[in-house]
Amino acid sequence: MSHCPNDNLLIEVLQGTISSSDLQDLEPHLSHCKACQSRMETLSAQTETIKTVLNLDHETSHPQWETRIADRIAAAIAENSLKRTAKTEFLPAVAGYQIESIIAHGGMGIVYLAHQINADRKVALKMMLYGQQADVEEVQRFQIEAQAAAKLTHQYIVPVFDVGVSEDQHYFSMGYISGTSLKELLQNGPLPEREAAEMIRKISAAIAYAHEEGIVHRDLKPGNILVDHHGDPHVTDFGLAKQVNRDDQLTKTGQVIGTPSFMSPEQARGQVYEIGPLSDVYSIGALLYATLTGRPPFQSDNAVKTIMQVIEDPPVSPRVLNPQVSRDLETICLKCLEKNSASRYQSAEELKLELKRYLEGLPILARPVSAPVKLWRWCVRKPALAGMMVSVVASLLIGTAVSTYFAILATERAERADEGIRVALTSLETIIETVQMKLYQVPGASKIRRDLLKVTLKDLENITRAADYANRIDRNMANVFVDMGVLYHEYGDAGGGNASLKAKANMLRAVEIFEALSPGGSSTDQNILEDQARALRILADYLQNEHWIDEAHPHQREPAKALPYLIQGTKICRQLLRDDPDNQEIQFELARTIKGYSQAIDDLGERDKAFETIQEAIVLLETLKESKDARESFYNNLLSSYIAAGDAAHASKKNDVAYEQFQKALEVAEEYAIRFPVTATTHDNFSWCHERMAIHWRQLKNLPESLASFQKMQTSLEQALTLDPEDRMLKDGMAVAYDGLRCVYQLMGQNEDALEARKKRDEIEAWLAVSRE
Amino acid sequence: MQSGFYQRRIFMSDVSTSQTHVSLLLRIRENDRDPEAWNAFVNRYGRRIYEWCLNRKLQPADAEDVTQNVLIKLARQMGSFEYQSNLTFRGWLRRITENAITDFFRELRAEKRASEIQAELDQLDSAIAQADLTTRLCDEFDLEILDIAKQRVKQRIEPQRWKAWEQISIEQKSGQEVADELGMLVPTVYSSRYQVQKMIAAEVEKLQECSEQIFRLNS
Repeated sequence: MSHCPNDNLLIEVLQGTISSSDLQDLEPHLSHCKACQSRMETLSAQTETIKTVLNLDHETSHPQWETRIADRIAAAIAENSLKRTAKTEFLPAVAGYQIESIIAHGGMGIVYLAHQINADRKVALKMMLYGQQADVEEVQRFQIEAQAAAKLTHQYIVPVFDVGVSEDQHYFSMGYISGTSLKELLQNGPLPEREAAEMIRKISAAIAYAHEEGIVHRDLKPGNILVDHHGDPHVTDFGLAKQVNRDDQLTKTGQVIGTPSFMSPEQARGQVYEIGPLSDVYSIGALLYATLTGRPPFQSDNAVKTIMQVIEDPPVSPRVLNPQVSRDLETICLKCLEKNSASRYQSAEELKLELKRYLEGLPILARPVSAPVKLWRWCVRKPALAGMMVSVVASLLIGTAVSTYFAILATERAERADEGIRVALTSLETIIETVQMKLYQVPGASKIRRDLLKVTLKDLENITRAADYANRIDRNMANVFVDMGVLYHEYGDAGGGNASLKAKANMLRAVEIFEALSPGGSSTDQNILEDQARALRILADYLQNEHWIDEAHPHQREPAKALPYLIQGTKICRQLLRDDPDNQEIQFELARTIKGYSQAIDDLGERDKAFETIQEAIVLLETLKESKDARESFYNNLLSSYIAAGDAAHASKKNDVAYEQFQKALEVAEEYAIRFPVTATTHDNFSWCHERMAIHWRQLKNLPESLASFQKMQTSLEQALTLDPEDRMLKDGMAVAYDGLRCVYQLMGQNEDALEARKKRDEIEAWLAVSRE
Repeated sequence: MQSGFYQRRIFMSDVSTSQTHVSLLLRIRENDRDPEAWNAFVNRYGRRIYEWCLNRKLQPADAEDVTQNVLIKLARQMGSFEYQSNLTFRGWLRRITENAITDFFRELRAEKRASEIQAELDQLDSAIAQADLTTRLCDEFDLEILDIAKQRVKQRIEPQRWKAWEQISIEQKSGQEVADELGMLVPTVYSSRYQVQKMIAAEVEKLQECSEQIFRLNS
C-alpha cells in the first residue's frame, strides 16, 4: 500500500485491533511515511489528565530534597510513636485531670489512666474516638446515656464520675479497677463451679439494680466485666452500647457491636424494640455458660454464622462440654438462654435469687427441660415456613449479616488489616450463601424473591466491590464474585441497572481471579480447582444462553466465546477425577460442563459431534441419578441433556434418534415427579418434553399428534403456573405453547381455534410487556 | 476470532498479585505504626511539605522540623476525622491538611516557641500558603496513584513495549528514535504508546474509584 491510510485505519493500528494481514500490508508504508508517523504521534498523544500529572513531578520537584532527610524525619517520627504512651505531647489534655498512660484501645475509644486532681483519685478516662465533626445526635445520646450510667452506685458496678467535653473530644471518667477482665480470666479455662455461680450472682445483683434504675446494659460480655484482686466482678460500659441501626449501616460502621456470641437472639435479629431487661438476662446466662465451660454458647469462624446460630440453634448443654457442671446450674443457664424471652427468668432479680438458692444448697425453682419438650422445640424451630414468614426471616438475616459484615470490617481493621479482610470475605461468602439458601426456601414465589433482593443486592454489590479494592487474589473473593453473578443472573437487578452486564462482569472477574490463582488450572489445591471449574462453567453457561433477566438488555447467545472456558473446565474436572474418581460433586460438575460444551458446538453447527459429546454427560448423569442420595438437579440436568441430544439429532434430520431421546427425557420427568415433592418444576419438566414432541410430530406432518402434544404442554404449564403464578419463564413457555397451537390449528384448517390461540398468545405477551415495567 | 479475543481477556487480565494499597494515605490511616508505610509516606508527602517550607523561605533545619510535625498531625487527623457524606476523598484530604496545619500552629503557639522563627512562620500561616500546601499534597496523591497504575500496567505487558512508552512519553523521544533504539517498527512504538497509556488511564480511574470506596467504607 503506497497511499496513506485514513484515520480510522490508523487508530485500528494503534489499538491493535487491525487484522495481522492488513497490518503486514501497512507496516512498510508506516515505517517510512513521515506524514503518517506524525499523525500517529498526534493520535496517540497523552490524554490530558496523565500529561498534567506527569508534568506535576517536573514542575514542583525541589532539588534539595534528599533521601537522608526523609530517613531522619521517618526515624524521628518512629521514635515519637514509640514514646507516644509516655510523652505528654501525645496524650490529650483534659481539664481537671492529669493523664498518665494508655490502658486500652477499644473500638469506641481510648481508655487512659488518669489522676483526677480535685478528688485526688485514680480514674480510668475514656475518650470517644470522634473527630471534631461528631454527629450531634450521637453526641447527645452519648451524653444522656453516660449521665444515666453516672447515677448508678453499686458495689459491683464501675462508677462513672464525670462526663464532659474537652477540645471537642467527648470523655467520661470512671472508677479505676486494678485487676483484670473476665475475658482474660477465661482464657485460662472455666472457673470452678461455685466461684462461677458466685460471680454470676453478683453480676445479676448489679444488673437487677440497674434495671430498677431503668437502665439496660445491652452489651454484657466478658470484656465488660472487670475483676478486682478479691475476685469480685465490676460491670462497666453501661448503656453505652448502641444499637445497630439498619438504616445507616452503609455510612456508619457498626463498630460497637463486637462479638455476637453473647448477644440475645432479639439483638441478633436486630429487633431493636424488643431489646430490654430480658436481653440482659440472656447475656448473663451466656456469661454463666462461658464461666462454666470456658467458651461462649455460640461461636464459629465468622460472625455471620455466629449470629445465625444465636438466632436458630439451641446451645450445646454445658454438661456436654464440662461434665463437672451440676444439673441445677445447667438448668439455670439454659433457662436464661431460651430463644423466646418469655421462657427466660423474668428479671435479673429472679435470676439472682435462683443463684442464691443454688449457692445455699436449696432446691432451685426452674425445672430442667425434658427430652420430649426438647424434641418438640426442635420441630418448632424448623417449621415449613410460609412464604412471607421466610421472607421476613431472610431479610432480617440479611440485614444483620450486612451490618455485622461492616462491624467486622471495622473492628478487625484495627487488629490486623489482612486478617480482617479474610474474615470479612468468609462472612460475605456466608451472607451470599444464606441469601441464596433462604431464597430457595421461598415456595413458588419468584416475586418475593425479587423483592427481597431489591433490598440486598445493592448492598452486597457495594461490599463486594469494596472488598475487591486491593486486587486480592483470593479464592473466597472469587467465589463471592461467582455467587454475585449468579444472583444477578437469576434475579435481575431490581435497582434498575443492567443486570445482564453485571452478571457477566462479576463472573468474568471470578474467572480472572481463578486464572491468577491457578493459571490454566495448574493449582495443586483441589478446593481451588473445584471452585475454578464451577466458575468457568457458570460463566460459559451465561455466555452461551440467551436470557432476558434484564429485558432492556437481552443477552444473545455467544457459544463461540463460551468454548474456551468449557474446554478448560472439562480439563480441570478430568484431572480432578483422576485422583478422586468417585467424587460425585466433580462428576456432576464434569457432566454439566460437557453438556454445556455439547450445546455450544451444536449452536455452532457441529450437530453430530454435539450429539456424540453429550452422551458422556448422559452416562455420568444416569449413574449419578441412581446413587442413593440423588438430588433434584441430577434429574433436571439429565432431562435437559436428553433434550439437547434430541435437538442435535433433530437438526441433522435424524428424527427417529431424536424421538428416542425425547422419550427418555419424558421418562426422567416421570421419575422426577414420583421421587420429589411436586413443584412448578415438576410440571415444567413435562412441558419441555411435550414441546419437543410436538415439534417432532409437526415436522413429520402428523398434525393430530402434534396438536395433542402442544395441548399437553399447555396443561403442564397451567399446572406449573398455579404453583408459581408470576414466573416469567413459565409465562413465556405458555406463549410458546399457544403459538404452537395456533400454528397447528392453522395447518389443520381450524381457523377459529387458531384465532383463539393467537388471542391467548397475545394476551400473555401483553402481560409480559406490562409487567416488565 | 471472537474466542481469541476472550482468551486474551482472561489470560492477559489485569490481575495483579501485589497487595499494594491504593494509597499510602489509606495505609497510614489504617495502621499508623507501619514503619515501611511511614518511610514511603515521608518520602512522598513529606517531601512536598518540605519543599513548601523551603519555597516559603524557611531554613532547612526548621523546614525539617515543620515537615515532621505536620506529618504527625496529618496522620492523627487521618485517623480521627469523621466522614461526611458530602465530602469526596480529595475534599477529605484537603480538609485534613488544613486541620493538620491549624493544629500545628495551635500547638506551636501554646509552646510559645514560635517567636524565635516568627517571621518565617508567618509565611506559612496564611490562607494562600495553606491552599498551596493542600494543592501540593493533592498533586502528590495524583502522582502516587499514577505511579501505582504504572507499576500495575508494567507488570502485565512486555518489557519492550513498556520501554517504548517510557521513552516516547517521559523521555520525549521521537517515534523513530525509539524504534531504532529498541529495534521495533515505528507503528509498533506508537501502538505501544497508545495502548499503554490507555491501560494506565483505566488503572488510574479504577484506583481513584477505589480510594473513594475504601474511604467511604472505612469512614
